[in-house]
Amino acid sequence: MRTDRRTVLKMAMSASAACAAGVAGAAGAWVPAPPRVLYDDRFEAGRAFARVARREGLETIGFSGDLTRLWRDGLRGDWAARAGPVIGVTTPRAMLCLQQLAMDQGWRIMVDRNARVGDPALLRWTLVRRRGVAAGAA
Amino acid sequence: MMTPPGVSPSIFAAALAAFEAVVGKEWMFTSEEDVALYRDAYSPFRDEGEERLASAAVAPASTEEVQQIVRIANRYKIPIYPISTGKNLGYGGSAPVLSGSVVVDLKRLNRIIEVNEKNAYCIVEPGVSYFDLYEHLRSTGSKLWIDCPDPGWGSLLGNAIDRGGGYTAANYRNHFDSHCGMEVVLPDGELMRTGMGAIPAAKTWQMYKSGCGPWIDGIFSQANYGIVTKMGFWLMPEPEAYLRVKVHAPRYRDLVPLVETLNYLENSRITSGFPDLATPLLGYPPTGQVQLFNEGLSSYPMDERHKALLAGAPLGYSPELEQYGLAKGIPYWELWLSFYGPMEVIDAQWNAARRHFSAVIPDVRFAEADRLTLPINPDDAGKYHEAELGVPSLRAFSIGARTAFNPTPSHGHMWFSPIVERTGEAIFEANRVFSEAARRLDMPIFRSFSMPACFWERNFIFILATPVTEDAATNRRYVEGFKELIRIGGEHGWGEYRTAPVFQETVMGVYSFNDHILSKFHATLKDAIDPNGILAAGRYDIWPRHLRKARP
Repeated sequence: MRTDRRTVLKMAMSASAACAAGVAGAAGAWVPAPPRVLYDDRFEAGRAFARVARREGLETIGFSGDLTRLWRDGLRGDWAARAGPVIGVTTPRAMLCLQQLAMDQGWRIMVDRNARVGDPALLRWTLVRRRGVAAGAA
Repeated sequence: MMTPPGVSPSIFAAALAAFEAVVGKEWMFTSEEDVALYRDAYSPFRDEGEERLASAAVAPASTEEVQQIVRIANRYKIPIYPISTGKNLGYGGSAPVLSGSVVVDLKRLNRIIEVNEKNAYCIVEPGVSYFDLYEHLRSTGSKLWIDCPDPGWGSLLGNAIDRGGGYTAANYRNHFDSHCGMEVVLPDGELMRTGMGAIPAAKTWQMYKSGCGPWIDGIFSQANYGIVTKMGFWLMPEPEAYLRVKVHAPRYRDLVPLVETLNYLENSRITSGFPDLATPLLGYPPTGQVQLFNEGLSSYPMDERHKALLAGAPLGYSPELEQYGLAKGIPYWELWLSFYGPMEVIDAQWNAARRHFSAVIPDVRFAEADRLTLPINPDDAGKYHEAELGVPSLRAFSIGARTAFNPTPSHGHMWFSPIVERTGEAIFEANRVFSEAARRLDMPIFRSFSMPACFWERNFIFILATPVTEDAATNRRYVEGFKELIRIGGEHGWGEYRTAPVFQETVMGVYSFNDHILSKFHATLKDAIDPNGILAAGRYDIWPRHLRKARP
């Protein structure tokens, strides 16, 4: 699937909406920050997605397969602090890893298994808050 | 909503309400989207009828809440399935053995109760991950190391009671063996401490394992006789230095003296680090370096002639292949050794090791890979296999990119992991037996010569990933083939050390001495300790009486 402006914006809007819906029940009014884009920069398709996202004003974070530092020094604290949703363009393994880690902090990943991003090794997914779980609860 | 087998919806609703009264609404999970998070991400039966699924999950915050949940489960006869952090992917993940069980998610029991610097131990709850303890130790300026598996995201306690392993010195790598003292919520809700912890004023709970009388800690590992809520672990003092070396043996039969000498060096404590066997000539990397091979950062380069010879030697040997290796200087076998301690001690140990190898292996060669003064800068840990330096990582999940070593990344895996004898002959024999079987069964493991890992002293363990695919029929075939490999292993005296729920019945069936007396003993214990059968029904094929004859 080709990455275009429409795709990125659609994902960003739905991520924000789903995140807000997830929080509303437990934490009252909360407007999540715009989604950030996490991409595996080993793949051209990941880099292409990030380029489009940056043009649309979204913050992008590249990583080269190993999520350790990214999670330890960034995502873990961000999720505990109720930061906004994340759009990911990663391998299924990286997504699974983040899915398991996110679960412990009250987030969940929604993946569109049919949404490929120009490379069969990559998946596109969205990370949003779990409904009813308070931020930073874990 | 799914209900546990034999439990009516109204009873189940009452039980869930009682659970919720203990933990609060926020920590009672019943929605489809929340419960789905407890699925086994690597299940070979994803979306199939055989997939093991939870009905709900409850996350207590304290040992007292765990006790209350257990008592409620008894009152309503609800099967519950405790998990620590649920990260043992490839061995079952968070999913219960008995579908319909309520997962008791212990991640909120995440306190590091104590770190004793002078006596080098810690006490932790089940929700403490390797990352948590690592960062705690670093932030407090501790000079203690952790020993962690790949990846390091799981629970110390959970990994230990699942009998997992790590990569540092021998007496810390076996995580169950390195524990000292437990606190356990029994199936009736009572709280028990093991070892010296049974003395109310205990001062040596984490210093002497067995206390007095029967030492029962083992029955709480890979079992369902209690929920472990605290566990002590011995920790390694940060060594002064680290040396990692390679021993190259040129000929096929050299594997036998290579292993014999390794055993002598390990059993004599001349080397204590993680030994790692590989074969450059056959293209099988060392266990600790697999990640680097996957990432394309390391490789055993092969030309076309080499590949052709390899294809003609499916069991790892042909005279032509051996001659090719000798002519090109490509070692048949490569043994990685590592040493921890003061550098002057390490150098003496390495000198002794070289003397022993040189005495039994003609033309053996040696090379140093890493010589480090510790501690290293944490930013440099990624240059090495972090776990061997006591640093947890998520690097295992970078697999997924196609590389020459890993051209077709899978969607998950089931670990086939039999224990075999610590001899070179056993490596040859296991490859012959499993390779023949795998070809007959069309299984994607043991299709080329495979090397075992040396996590434990005194034995080898093959840890081979059987892929989980997106095709249900293929997965079903692999599951049946996997079970047949387990049975074939049993016929040769080899058994799995750990396995996913889908294989636990088959694996325990291999442990059949004297008409399955061991399993009968497990059942006797289960009936005595957990008469209502509420706790982790079916784990390692230990079923409560009412489910024993017709296993779900």
